[in-house]
Amino acid sequence: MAFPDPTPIRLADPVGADEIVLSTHDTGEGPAVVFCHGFPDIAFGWRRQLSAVADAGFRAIAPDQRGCGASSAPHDVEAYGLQELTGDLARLLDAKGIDDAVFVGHDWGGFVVWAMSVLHPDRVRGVAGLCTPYMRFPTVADHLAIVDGVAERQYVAWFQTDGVAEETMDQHVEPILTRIFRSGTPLEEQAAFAFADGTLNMNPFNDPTAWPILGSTLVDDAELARYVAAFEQAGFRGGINWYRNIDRNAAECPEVGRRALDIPCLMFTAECDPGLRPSFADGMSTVIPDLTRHDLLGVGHWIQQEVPDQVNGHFVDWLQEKFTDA
Amino acid sequence: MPELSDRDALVDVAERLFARGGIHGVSVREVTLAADVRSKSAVQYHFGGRDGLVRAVLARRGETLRVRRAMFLEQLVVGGSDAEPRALCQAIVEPYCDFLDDGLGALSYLVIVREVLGDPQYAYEDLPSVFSDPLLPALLARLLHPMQLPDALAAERSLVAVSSITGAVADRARRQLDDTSPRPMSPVPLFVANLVDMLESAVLAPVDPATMRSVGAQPASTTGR
Repeated sequence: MAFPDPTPIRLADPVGADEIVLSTHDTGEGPAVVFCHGFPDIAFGWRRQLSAVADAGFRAIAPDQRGCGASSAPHDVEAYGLQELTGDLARLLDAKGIDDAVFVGHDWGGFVVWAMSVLHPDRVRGVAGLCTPYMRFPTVADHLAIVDGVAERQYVAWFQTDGVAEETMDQHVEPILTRIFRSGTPLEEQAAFAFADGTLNMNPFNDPTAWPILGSTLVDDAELARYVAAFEQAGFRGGINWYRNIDRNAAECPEVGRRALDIPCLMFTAECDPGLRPSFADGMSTVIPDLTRHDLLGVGHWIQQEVPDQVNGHFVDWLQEKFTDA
Repeated sequence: MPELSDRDALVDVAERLFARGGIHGVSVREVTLAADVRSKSAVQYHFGGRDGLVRAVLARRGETLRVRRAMFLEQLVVGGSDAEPRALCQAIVEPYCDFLDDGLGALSYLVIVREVLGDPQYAYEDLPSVFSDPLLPALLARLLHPMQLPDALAAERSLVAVSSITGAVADRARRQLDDTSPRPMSPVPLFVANLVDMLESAVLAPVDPATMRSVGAQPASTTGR
């Protein structure tokens, strides 16, 4: 399965003051499906999906989103709010002459695509979330509360101070990515380390070499090299800046995670994801009448890389049922 | 699909007019009229004046250039060739030369870059600001690193390399823009491949002992190849 080469797509009139060009992979013909990666990730994280979806009769499009990979990475924190991130996706469709698309997102990209359905509803035919349910994004205070206010022990809280996390993380690209891209392991195994000193530690990024390497790798040597090259070049700051806007997003976009959605939606949960727990998705059916849900057992956070056949099978079935233009 | 915004329309028009008449030879009023925008003060509003408009023209394709270079460099790193002089020269030349195949606006941009680099008002020694591209100096530095040149000489070589490339590409772009040009042109891929060859040789050219003495350094036997 070849992963298509990227092309640079310039966005006309992007939100904010910066020129934005997105390195974008695009393959296949048919109704458009836009894949949105999370953190720390790039479009390459969808390498096991694009061809399968294109072969099923769809146009599969995956950008490195703002701040990530080869794409534009404005310096200012304010350039990475939900308005900017979703605005980029709407303008990406403009640049390609596409009216609307199905959006699929994983991790942070999941939050972005659910927000698309609220902030740009006329551009969205359907949404699929991997691990990330349609919900209100927890605030910085919520994250701090989990660790009794000790920011260093919770990565979202630790990310908030401008310049701190990226300085550490940019020096440990390979150790971080080596530990991140692993298959799921039982939660008890993960908890054993998270509670090793008796207090919860949910920050694998500030002292990465101290963290265990659990499960099995999801990337071969060449794939890891590609990830390492991308993050050594771009650094982690762009993606971290997404997290620095979560309180602003909540204030500016209060309907995200609350407003009912009247489009077909698909939700994948991962049993062994320690952060995005399957139970978080339980409330979705009350605000999304047309919801299809798959709970994948024994898999971790990177489900599209860990069990691509399962994910692709369910995803293509749903796409063909809901969006094949008769 | 949304219409072109005033801002984009102004940059589009300025790009073409600046290439034809020079960045100092076209008035803001001419740009505003040709762009057919409603407000006479649109340039002032969007860009703060002529200088801001020139920088916006540079920044627009400059960002595309930066992303192309980043994509190119990622591929080099993955292929393990990111330390090879020829590959580094390709990363410098090819993403820039992609504009030769990208329409009249892109050709205009190439002509403007050369003019800006020769214009003291635009701080031509500050390459990242002209190209919006921090990767360019980094690539040149990596290319020059094995030469172990004194700083002053390395800086001189970087500057001459960039001005030679942008000059050659701008000449070519101008001829492509001028459809009455009498001389036949080589195909773009040949032009680009030759430019890569020449850049590699020029940057890695042996340093004459007299040159070393003129920058106040001891002639070294390790420079050159």
